[in-house]
Amino acid sequence: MNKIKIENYSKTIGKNKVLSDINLTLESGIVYGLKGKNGSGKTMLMRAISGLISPTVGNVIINEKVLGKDISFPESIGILIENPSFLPQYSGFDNLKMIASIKNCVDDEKIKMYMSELGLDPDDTKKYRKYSLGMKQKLGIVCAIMENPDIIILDEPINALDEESVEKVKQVITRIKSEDKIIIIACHNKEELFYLADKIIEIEDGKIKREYLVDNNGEINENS
Amino acid sequence: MKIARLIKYDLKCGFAYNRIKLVIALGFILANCVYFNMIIEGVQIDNASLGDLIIYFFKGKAVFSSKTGNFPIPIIYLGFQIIVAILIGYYPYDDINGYGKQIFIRCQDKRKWLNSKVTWSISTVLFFYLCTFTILFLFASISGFDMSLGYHKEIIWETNNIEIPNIEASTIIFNGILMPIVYSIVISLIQICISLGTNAIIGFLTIMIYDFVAIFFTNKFFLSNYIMILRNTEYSGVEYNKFEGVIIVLAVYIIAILIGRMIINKKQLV
Repeated sequence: MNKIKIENYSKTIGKNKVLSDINLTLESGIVYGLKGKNGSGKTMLMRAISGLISPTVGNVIINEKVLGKDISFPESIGILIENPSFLPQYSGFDNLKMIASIKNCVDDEKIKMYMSELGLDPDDTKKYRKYSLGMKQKLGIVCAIMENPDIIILDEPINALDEESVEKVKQVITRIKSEDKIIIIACHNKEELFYLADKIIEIEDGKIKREYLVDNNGEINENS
Repeated sequence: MKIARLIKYDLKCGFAYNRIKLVIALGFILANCVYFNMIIEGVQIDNASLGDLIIYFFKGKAVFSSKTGNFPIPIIYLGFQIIVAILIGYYPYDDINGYGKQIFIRCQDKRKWLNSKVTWSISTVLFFYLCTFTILFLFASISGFDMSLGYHKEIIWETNNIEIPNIEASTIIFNGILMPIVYSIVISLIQICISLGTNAIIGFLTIMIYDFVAIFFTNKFFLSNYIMILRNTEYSGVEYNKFEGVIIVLAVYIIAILIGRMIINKKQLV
């Protein structure tokens, strides 16, 4: 059972308070959907959980370990934050293989399987720089999930995807949801977000405005 | 996570990132070899030597005097500094602002990331100089030069209009081979630190200004004075102490490593 606890987290960059007094507990087996306008703080919250930024005040505690003190980054995490960026001179598969070589915990067959699952051809020798926006996005999602991490953060995962690809992403998220992971998704499409998430966290001006559960039909669970 | 994997990744990605720049850089070296051959055609000597070629590439600039008026900028000296700065300055910066975030969360340690980039920068500098000296050696060999470190005063006169009484072979080896490599390694690390603390453009410009200003000052804290053969001869009158040079360069390197660690620890990956 994985658990993320965010305690009194605030982050100021320059004169802007980008996150303000965030208190949240995130548990495995639940898909969390971050909802909010542009610049509301969704991506910053994702960066905070990933350890990419450090707090001005407060803590992120992952499985009893304080981020920035006990650990620099979460021990098992996959991220797609903002635009995916890969090495332009390599193919999609080669890019993923190279990233996977750092932890060395996923083999080529698994990478190929995840690529195929999202509709990418692992044997395609096309360089990343020639990829379409949608293909780049799918490669970013594969990168986030291929090592089977405990925490998965997907910022706008269905951006630039066609309908068929959106369905594939939904299937993948539904599958990994059953694997006892903490999944955090930000998405501007309310319908898709409500479909994918079990719990919605609304953010406004860097603060949590509201949290509520949604049911299988994407309807707000009034009892939450 | 073993740092060896991270270094392997950086060597692979970093060299792929720089391959076109490296080809252009080596083209610059070769073009200057050809130019050197053209210069010596008009000089009355039996045969040029490998030492002449090395001195031509790493002579730097004689001591600046505002009285002489005419003081041409040393193109090859600046060319080398620009090449090294371009080869080193952008990959770590681009990495940390893009692809590198995937690496950070996997290597779990900002220091390992920095150490790997430092190793990559040392390897890149060594590889560049290895290619450079290989080209010089092959060019001298193919052109039928005398393969010794001896030199001809006539060529120095032709290229610099100065007469140097004596250049020791040790000066050629130390100031023309060893120190350029060591200096490039140190200045690369400083550039990486500035880039990570600000951005790649500022890092590049800072190093370029430092290297450019050093042409006009013979202060030992302008470290590139140690890589100019002409400033380390009897002619210059300011021959730099080799031992002192190594100590200063090593001290700067250690300080840069410590500053780099502080910068990377505080770095916000937004």
